[in-house]
Amino acid sequence: MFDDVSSSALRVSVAGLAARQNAIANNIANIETPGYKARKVNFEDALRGAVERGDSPSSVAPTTETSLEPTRLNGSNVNLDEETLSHIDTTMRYQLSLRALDSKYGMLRDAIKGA
Amino acid sequence: MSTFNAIGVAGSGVTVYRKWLDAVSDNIANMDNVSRTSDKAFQARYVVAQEAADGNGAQVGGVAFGSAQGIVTHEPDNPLADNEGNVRRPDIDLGSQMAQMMMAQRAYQANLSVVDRAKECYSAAINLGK
Repeated sequence: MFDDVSSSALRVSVAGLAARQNAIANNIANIETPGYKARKVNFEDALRGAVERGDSPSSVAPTTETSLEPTRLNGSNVNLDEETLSHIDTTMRYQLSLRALDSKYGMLRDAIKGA
Repeated sequence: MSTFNAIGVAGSGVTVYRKWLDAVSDNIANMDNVSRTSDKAFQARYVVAQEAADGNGAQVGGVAFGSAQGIVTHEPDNPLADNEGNVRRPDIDLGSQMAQMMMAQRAYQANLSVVDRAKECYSAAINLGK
């Protein structure tokens, strides 16, 4: 009942977005750290693949890779504008996924309560 | 990973850039210090940021010092002047200090706005199921 495709896909996306939010917070905290390379979290492609193949989405874990952007003079390659936009985007998506998950649970709650 | 990790991570950034701002304002406050040629000049401090050991946020990795040599200037009227009328002044460039201050200030603000947006996310998660 709680592990249908849409619920588990939403849970994976909430976890992935939380990981991305952490990575962005870490990138912005290290914006002036000499030699720091920005990290990017990816889970969408793996999640889409799992849903298309009919696999269980809950097997999808977010992956982290290092940004290949050119570095500034101090060796850090964090772009504040890009990170800020991505953080706003992640915040909105996170809330959207939570709301979708919430309405899924709301339907279950209604079904349990009965008419 | 703690429950409200992003807030802690961005908070560590806020701390680093506050210390950076402290160092820069200290440098600017002391940029007109005068010392005897037999003493050291005031040395500017430069905060060096570093990634935290556990990969969650930033920390102050160390401090680099400016020149102890400073600049020797000829000021015979200065009470601290030596026999040849020279004193030592710190070698601090106000322009570069102001640029550092702006960098630290913007980074401080960027980290604070991350805290703000992370807070929004977490409060949405707390309200789940209400």
